[in-house]
Amino acid sequence: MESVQKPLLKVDQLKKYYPIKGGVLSRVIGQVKAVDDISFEVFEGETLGLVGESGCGKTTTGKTILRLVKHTEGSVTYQGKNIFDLTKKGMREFYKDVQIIFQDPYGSLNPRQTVGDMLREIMKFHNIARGEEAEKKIKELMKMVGLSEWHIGRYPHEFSGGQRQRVGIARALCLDPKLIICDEPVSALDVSIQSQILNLLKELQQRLNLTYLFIAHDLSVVKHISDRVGVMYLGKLVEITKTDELFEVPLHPYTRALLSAIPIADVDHSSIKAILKGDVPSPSNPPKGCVFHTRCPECMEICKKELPVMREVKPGHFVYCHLYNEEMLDENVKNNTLYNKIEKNPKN
Amino acid sequence: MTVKDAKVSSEIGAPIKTSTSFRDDAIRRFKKNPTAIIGLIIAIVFVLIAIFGRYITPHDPFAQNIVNSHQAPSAEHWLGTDFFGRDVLSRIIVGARISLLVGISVITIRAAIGIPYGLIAGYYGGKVEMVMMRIVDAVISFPGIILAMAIMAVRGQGIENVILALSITGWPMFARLVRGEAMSLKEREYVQASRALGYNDGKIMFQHILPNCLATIIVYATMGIATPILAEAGLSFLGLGATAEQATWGFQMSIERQYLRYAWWSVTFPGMAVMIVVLGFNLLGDGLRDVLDPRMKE
Repeated sequence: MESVQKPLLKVDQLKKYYPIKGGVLSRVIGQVKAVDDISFEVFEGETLGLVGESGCGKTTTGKTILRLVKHTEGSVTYQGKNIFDLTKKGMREFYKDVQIIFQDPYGSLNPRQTVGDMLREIMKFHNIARGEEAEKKIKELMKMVGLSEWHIGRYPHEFSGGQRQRVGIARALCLDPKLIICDEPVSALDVSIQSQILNLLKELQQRLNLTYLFIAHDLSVVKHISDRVGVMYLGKLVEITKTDELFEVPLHPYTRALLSAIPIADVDHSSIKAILKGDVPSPSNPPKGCVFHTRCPECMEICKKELPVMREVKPGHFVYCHLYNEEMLDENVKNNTLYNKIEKNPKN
Repeated sequence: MTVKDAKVSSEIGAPIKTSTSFRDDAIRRFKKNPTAIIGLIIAIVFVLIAIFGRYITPHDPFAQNIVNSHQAPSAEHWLGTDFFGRDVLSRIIVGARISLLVGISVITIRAAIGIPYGLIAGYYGGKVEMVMMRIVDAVISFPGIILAMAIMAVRGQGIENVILALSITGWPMFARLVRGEAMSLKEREYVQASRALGYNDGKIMFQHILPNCLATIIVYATMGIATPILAEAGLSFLGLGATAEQATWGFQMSIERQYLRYAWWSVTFPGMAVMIVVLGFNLLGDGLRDVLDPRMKE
C-alpha cells in the first residue's frame, strides 16, 4: 500500500470560492475561500485521510471532487481525464467508479424508499443487473455490509444510526466503485458504533481493493484508518505525509498544535501543549501571507507577507510552511537538525 | 413499492411477522383511519351525485313556478325553493356535476402546471429560478378575475372556458409551494447522493424530490377545491360562466344571496354543499397523506 503505486485521483490547484452577495442588487462583494489552491494525489488501494477543524474546507473538497459542488478553478484528474471536462455520459461512468458516503446517516437516505428499492433503482439505472440477478446482488451487498436479508424491505426510519450508515455504504458499493469518498462517515455515530463502521470499511477495502479519501476531524479515527494523512487549515492543505510519520514527526506548526491536543491516557505523561491563540480567521477575509501566521508560534516576518510553497521536505512528506523554505531547509538538512531544531525551539 | 418477499429467516432478531408490501400496508392503515374513510365516503357520494344527478332529483330542477317562490323547507321541498320556485335540493343535486367538474379539474390542471414548474425553479435555482418566479409574480399580481374575464372574453362563454381561465390564474400558488419545498429538499444529503449516483436531473426531481413534497401538495390541493367552485360562481354571476339553463352551486348562491334575509335556505344549502365537499376531500387528503408516508407505517 505504499507510494510506488500510481495515483488514482489527482487534485491539482483546486479552488472553490463562494461568492458573498450583498447590497441592493446583490452584487458580489467578497468571496469565501472554502478551498484555496490545494493539490494532492490519491494512490490506488490506499486510504488518504483529510483532517482539519470544521470549516477548513475538507468536506467541500470531497464534494467538489464529485462535482456535487461546482469548482472555481483547478482540475481533478481521474484515470487521465479531467473530470471537470467530462460530458454527462462521462460523468455517469465516473460516478460508477467514484462514490461517496455521507456524514449524516439520517439525512442521506430518501425516507420514501426502501433499501431494496434504492439499490434496485441504482442497478437498473446503470444497467448493472435486473430481476433475479439484482436480487441476488442486493442480498450479497446486505451481507457484505453486515445487514440481513430481511432488512431489504425496510424504510430508512426503521434503522438505527449505525445501520443506516451501513445502508449508505451498501449504496456506495452497489456500483462496484474503485474510490470512495468518505465524508466524515463516523462522526455522527456513537463511539462504539464508530469502531464497527471503521472496521467494516477497513475490511471492505481489503476485500474489494478499494481506495478511500477519508475526511474526518477526529485524529484518532484518521490515525486508525489512514495510510497517509493530509492536514487542512482555512482552505489550504498545510501538510501531507504517511500517517506514522505525521504522528511522529509533525512538521507544520499547525499540525503540531493539532496533535498535541490529543489527550493521552497517562497521568505521568507531561507534554507541553502547543495551545493556539485566538480563533480561526474568517475564510472570507483570510490573513495576508501564510493563512496560519496569525496563530503560528513560529511566525517570522516573511510569513506575514508571502505565501509559502508546498515543498517536499522528505520523500513523500510535503509541508506548506516558510520554516522549510529552500534556504532554511538546506541548512537544516545539512546539519540534520530539521526535527530537533523544531523540538528545541524555545518559543514552543 | 414492490417489496413483497422480505422473508423470515431463522436469524436472531429477525421480525416475527413477514413484512407486507407497502401497498397492502397502506390500504390496511387507510381502513383503520376513520376520518379518512368518512372523507372517502363523502367524496364518492358527491361524485355519484355528480354523475347520476339528473335521474335522482325529486323535482325538475329547471321548472319555474313563481307562485312557489321562496317556500321554506317542507315535506314537499326538503330544502325549500328559490326565487323562481325551483326546488333547491334538486338544484343542488344537478349543480354538483358542474361544480365538482370545475373544482376537481381546475385543481388538477393547476397542479399539473404548477408542480413541474415549481420543481424546476426550485431545483435549478439561480437565474432560471429568478426568471421563472418573476413570471409567477406577474401572474399572481394580475387580478385573477380580470384575467379570467379577459380569457372568457376571447374564448367565449362555457364551462370549459371557465376551467381554462381559472386554471391559468391559479397555478402560480402551486408553483410557489413546490418551489419552496424543492429548494429545501435539494440540499438534503439523499438528493446529493442521487446526484453522486449519476442520476439525471429529471429523475432526481420527479422520483426523489417530488415524492417528498407530496404531503404538502395533497393538503394544499384538497383545501383548494373550494376556491374554483366559488370563483366559477363569480364568473357565472357576471354572465361569463354557466348559462341560465345550467345549474351550479356557485351560481345558485350568487343569485340568491340578495334574499338571504328572508329566504336563508336558498343560499345556505348550496353553500353547505360546497363546505361538505371541501370537508370530504380534506379528510380524504389528510388520510392519504398519512397513508402515503412510510414513516407512519407501523
